[in-house]
Amino acid sequence: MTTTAGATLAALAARLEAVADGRVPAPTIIEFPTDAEPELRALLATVSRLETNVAAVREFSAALAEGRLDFAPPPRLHLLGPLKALQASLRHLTWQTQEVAGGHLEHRVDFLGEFSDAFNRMIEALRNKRHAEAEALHASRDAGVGHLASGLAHEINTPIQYMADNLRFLEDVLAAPGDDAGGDLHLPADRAADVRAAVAETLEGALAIGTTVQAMREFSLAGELGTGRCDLNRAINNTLIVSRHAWQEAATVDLRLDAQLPLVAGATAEVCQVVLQLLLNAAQALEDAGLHGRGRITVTTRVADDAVLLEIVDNGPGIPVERREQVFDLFWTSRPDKGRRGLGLPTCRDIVTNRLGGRLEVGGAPGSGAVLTVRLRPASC
Amino acid sequence: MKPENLEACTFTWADLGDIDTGRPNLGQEVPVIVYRLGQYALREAIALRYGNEVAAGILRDAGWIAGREYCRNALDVSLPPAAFVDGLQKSLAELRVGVLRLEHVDAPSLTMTMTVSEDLDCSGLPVTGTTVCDYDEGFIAGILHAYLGVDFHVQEIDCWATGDRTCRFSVQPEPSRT
Repeated sequence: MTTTAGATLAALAARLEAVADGRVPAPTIIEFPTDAEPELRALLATVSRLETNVAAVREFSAALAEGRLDFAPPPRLHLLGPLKALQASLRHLTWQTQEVAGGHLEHRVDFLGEFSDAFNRMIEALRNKRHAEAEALHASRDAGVGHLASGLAHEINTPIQYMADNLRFLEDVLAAPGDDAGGDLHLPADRAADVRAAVAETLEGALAIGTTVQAMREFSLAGELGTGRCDLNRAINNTLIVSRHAWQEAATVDLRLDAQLPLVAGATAEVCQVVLQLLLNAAQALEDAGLHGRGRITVTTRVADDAVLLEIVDNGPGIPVERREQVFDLFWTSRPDKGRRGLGLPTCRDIVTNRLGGRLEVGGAPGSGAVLTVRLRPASC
Repeated sequence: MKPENLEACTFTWADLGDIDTGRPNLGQEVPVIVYRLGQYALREAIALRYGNEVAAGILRDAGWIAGREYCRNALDVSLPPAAFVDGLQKSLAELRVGVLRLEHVDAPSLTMTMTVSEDLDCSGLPVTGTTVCDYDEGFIAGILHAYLGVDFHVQEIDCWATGDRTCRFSVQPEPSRT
């Protein structure tokens, strides 16, 4: 070995030592001795490339450590592959986190080890929190509206009752024996007939108001009166009366209620809530299908096996088989453009499953109307 | 020159056939090596006759058709964007195509950066220094076209074959495709 070669090798060893110690010098052009052998030249070139590449690894690592995810490492450098994969994962997680911050909780992270599990658990927790908040908001709003409706119903009911009593009294007076057809009031026959008809009509109207007010009162007080036993048919009738405005333009409702139905287990408020949501859901489906005025909703109650069944069937397009579970996903809606929030059916299933101990299922032949079946437990005697 | 009898070559989803009936014992899946054998042999055959650039373009076009049909037939295009992306990621993972991840999305300009790890086309290939995922570029563009109705230019900027462990694609709208 020549003296020059020996000196060059010693210099190379020192540089490699520095790289091994993590002291990467700035890449420099190594001067080749004029008389260097080809093998030595090749070694010099390789060491120089190693220094450059290690410097790139160090710079890229430092950028990632500092959170500079937009750092652009040198292209086509295989040594950087794992760091680029890490950079890709971190960029993806940044995007995922931005999505979550924007309220999109649909995403999952996969194949990133423990981080995937932690992130997915966080998403699930956020979903549950959002569900709980939505429920609490609804419950609080429902409670407020319920108390208001109950108070109004009471205020209206009292005058309605004495109006009805007075109208019945007038009917009796007009019908009582007297000098002519006007009874005790002594009206001419033609005038007496008109007055009797007017009184009868007014009484009919007052009784209709009384029925609606009573239904509203029972509906709004259902939560407070909940005894764990519910008259399903009565809950359906009351719900239909108070929600008439929400479905009457979309559909007619056909009731097929089993008069011998036993009481079901569960609070009346929750049963009413389920009936209301299912009715509204059917009415919206019929509206969406353009069946204004031609829609038909059939509500059936019956006993089957050891359960009490409530079926709500519409004559809309139905729910495709592949979406029959998806409709119960929280916040999923087929019509986000109509401002729907995807809370109705998930809430129904939650109430039916977790509070009433029953089941809620979607059925119906493909292409025909939707069939929503609620299976409830009879109340124990 | 226009190809003859074009209608007979038009691909539809039904052309994939009834695999369960046709392969009752061997089933739906084949090793990745078989897929790559077909793709890279086809690439070479086209390149030998027409050159590398034409071969890449044809693979890109084929990917575009495949992406469009896959989106129309295997994905739910009625979903809003976030849910659609989630479904796409799940579907690609289930089909063992790759692990799709979005890095950046600029909704107003419809530009995005996405990566595909464990890519069916290229992960594990020898490092040649050039990107090879032409089919993937077309596939991604075809999916996005079927979902958004917009033509996209998809370009692979990092690839396993260039020494990067993750394939990275830059996506941006392009003037309408003819």
